[in-house]
Amino acid sequence: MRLPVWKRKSMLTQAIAQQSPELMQNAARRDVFIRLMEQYEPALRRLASAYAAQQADREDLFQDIAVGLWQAIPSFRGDASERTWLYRIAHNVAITSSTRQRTRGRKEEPMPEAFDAPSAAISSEQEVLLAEKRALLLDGIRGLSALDRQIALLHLEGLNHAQIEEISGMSQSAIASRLSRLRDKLKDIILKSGRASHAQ
Amino acid sequence: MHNNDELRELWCSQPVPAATSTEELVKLVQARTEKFDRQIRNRNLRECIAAAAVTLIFGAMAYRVDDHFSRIGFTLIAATGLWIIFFLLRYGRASAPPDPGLDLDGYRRALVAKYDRQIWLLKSVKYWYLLPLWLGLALANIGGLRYQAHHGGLGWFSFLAPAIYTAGFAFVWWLNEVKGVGQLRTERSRVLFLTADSGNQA
Repeated sequence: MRLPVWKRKSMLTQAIAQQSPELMQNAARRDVFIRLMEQYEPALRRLASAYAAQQADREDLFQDIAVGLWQAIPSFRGDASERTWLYRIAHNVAITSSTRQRTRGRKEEPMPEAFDAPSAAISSEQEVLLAEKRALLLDGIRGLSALDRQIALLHLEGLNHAQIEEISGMSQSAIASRLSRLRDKLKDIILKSGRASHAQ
Repeated sequence: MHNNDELRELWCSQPVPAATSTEELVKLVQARTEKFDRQIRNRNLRECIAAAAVTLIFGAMAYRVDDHFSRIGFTLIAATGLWIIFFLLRYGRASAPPDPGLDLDGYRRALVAKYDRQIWLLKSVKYWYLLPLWLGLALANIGGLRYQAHHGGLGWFSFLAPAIYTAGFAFVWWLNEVKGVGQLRTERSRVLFLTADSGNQA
């Protein structure tokens, strides 16, 4: 008697799982890793840009984060949400990397052009202004302490206070007051520099 | 002028490099993880083979030599070879990195503890590695000097070998305890500096 395709597939998966649980674990780990990367790669690259000024360092840091995630996947128990767990790992790896980072003696390189180009409706003057503001914001964030930087980045990535609490270990009230101060500081940096460039 | 959404928009509008092929990324992380494991395994294997060779060679010399001082010295060196193998197998494995899934304060404490352990390991090299080997060589050398003195062959050149290996040992001590520990202390201070206020969060 011929079994239906779905039945045969599930029997095959069971047989593989019984014979080689390690193989199954590796396959599952690979699937989780690929899914996480597809979902969070742009956010992780933005995070790397907040810790490393040079393009080569940013790429190294991104790879370090990817390795950190790969190694941490088997120990993920689901106590925290996947997103907060991922950001914890990324920030902690970034701190370790910053500790070991050697000065490469190169000038800061701007972020490469976006793969999704900005809307054509935006005039070139506006584009220049926007790029300038982005650079100022990035500089402002890089100048923050590790904890402030972590909180600011998580907030900018759209995480709420409860999620930031899970990642940083700070209370939500402390996060709220710190965020208010940080937002003011970052706005000030952008506004002051904007005024200075207009005055020139 | 800038509300939260504007800052967020500004942040998220950053151009980022084109997405890496996930297949390539998987290959890359697997290669990097395997390379690291292989490096540690090979380093330990090399050191164990060298220590085993030291044990065999100096054990044979201890068996064949007549002078008591030399015999004790060679035996001590051979025993140190075995001790080094034990120490490498017991403590020489790459310590597991701190769990990056911890919150910032927990991660900082784990990272600092890791640095403290590495500093302790490097600072202890003089006791478990250098001192027994140097003592063994010194004792064996005393035996040699006694033999030379007895047969009238003692001269300034007799002290050349002890001077050279003592200088060599001093250099290894400096590499570990001054250079290595200094570098680790710098990294440890940097961790504390980078995470300065994570220890006293509200």
